[in-house]
Amino acid sequence: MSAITARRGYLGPQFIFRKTVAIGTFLLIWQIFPTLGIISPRTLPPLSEVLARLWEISFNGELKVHIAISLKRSLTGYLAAVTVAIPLGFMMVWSKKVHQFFNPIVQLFRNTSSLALYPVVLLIFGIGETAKFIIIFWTAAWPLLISVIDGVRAVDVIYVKAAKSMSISTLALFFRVILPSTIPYILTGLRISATRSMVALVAAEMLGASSGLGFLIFDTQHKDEIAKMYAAIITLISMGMLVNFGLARLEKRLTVWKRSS
Amino acid sequence: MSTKTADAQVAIANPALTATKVNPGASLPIGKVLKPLGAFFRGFAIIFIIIGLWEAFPRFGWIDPFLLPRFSDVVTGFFTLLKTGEFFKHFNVSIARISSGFFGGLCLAIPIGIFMGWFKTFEEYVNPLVEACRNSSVLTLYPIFILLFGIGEQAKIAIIMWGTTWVVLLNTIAGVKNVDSVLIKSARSMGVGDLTLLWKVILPAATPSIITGIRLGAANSILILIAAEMIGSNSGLGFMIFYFEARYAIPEMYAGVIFLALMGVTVHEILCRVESYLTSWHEKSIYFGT
Repeated sequence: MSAITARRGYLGPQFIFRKTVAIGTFLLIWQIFPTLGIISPRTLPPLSEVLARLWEISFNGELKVHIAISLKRSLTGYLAAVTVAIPLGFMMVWSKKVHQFFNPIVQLFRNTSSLALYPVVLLIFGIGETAKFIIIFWTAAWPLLISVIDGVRAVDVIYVKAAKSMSISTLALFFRVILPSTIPYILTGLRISATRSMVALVAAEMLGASSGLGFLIFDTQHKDEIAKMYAAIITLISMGMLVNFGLARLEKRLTVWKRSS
Repeated sequence: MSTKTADAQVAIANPALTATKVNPGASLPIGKVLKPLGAFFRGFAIIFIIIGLWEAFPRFGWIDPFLLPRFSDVVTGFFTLLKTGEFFKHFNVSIARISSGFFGGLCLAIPIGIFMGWFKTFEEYVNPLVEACRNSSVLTLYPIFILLFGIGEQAKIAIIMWGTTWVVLLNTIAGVKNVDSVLIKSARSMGVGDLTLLWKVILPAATPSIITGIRLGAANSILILIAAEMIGSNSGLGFMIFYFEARYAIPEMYAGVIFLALMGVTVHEILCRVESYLTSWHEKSIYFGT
């Protein structure tokens, strides 16, 4: 309620100014400092030069190739993680005993940096698409699994008891009570694991790949094409932000009912 | 974390429910010893099963022992590493990097976060930039850090600092900003000055949020440490496991991976304990009088 009125009142020019002034200043410094030579343009080319290069590579098709490959990699890994981790998460909290049985391994892997497992994956699958798929899948799966488990455990006991007292079947209990109240957690999990899978993607592409945005960044750095490197970084970061922002919006929209209480 | 808060909410909603949950029958003294022991084995059953399978599969040739050496070989490999001192060489380097990066990040983020949480207008203006920095994938920026600081300790420490700072900063700001205004008003009405208010009211109230930030920052910093050591380095634990993989010293590689996993869990566990210790007053105030 208050959020909506606040948003209406804040959409004026003052609001826009407040939201953009810091980033604007940052971009201005990026343009001015290298031009004046306060920072060496070899380390940080002026923003205009980077944007020009970004424009160039987005129209000669170079960027498109790398984006397509990176997207394909991260999407396949991410979607596989979604299809596996969500049902698995529900299965792992089927009963208290099952949950307690699986809990140590979940705790172990949620705290294990997936990159530490990358050498193992490379050893078993070799440097190739499979290894990248596995590492992205692995990284994306754990936050989802954990959010499902946390979500089910956070379901209000009263709802379950009330439903049971009306002699609800297990299946209906799951679809009518457990699943709806777990949705907010799953949405958060979807967002976190999307962010994580981007990190894993970049790492995988930096450590042995010949295509993809992560590769492009490192390759241009080695070739000393610094403006192009910054252009690639901007692309990758804005992609990550777009995904994060989109999923955050989705999360907000789908959980409006939750905030109103 | 989220389950904990949910538990707390349940506790608020229904104090009688938690009162029975806290101590289900103070049992006999023998039970006090045996119960935890049995619970320990039952609790970690899956770990023992996995170790058992890990030992059995390569032993019976169901998996190529080259790809997955026997668990006992991995343990032996770990002890060899300890004995030759190779492990400690890398461990010390990693610890030096992560502690300077992590604590450097904390020293930066917590004071700035308190400042920004205090001056809300300032925070409103800077917030979009902070959010942008926090949401930009750290590894993507690593080449820039290499460009600025060269391939050396500085770049690694700086990137770890970067990875720690933003989470801690945002959590500190949120913690300071969301202090119950009743607490502040009542302190003010007792004529408390700015500094005392900060020290006695705002900081304790913001602690849970700050600690959560520290926990997330620690997890981030371990991830970044390993990545930075894998990408351009010739020492450290992240380098070590890749080096063993390239040299086909597979048991040693697995030993390194297991160590890193255990390190992550231990850090997480310690910070969770610190969290519940520092916020014990919070818990108590809920249970008080039930």
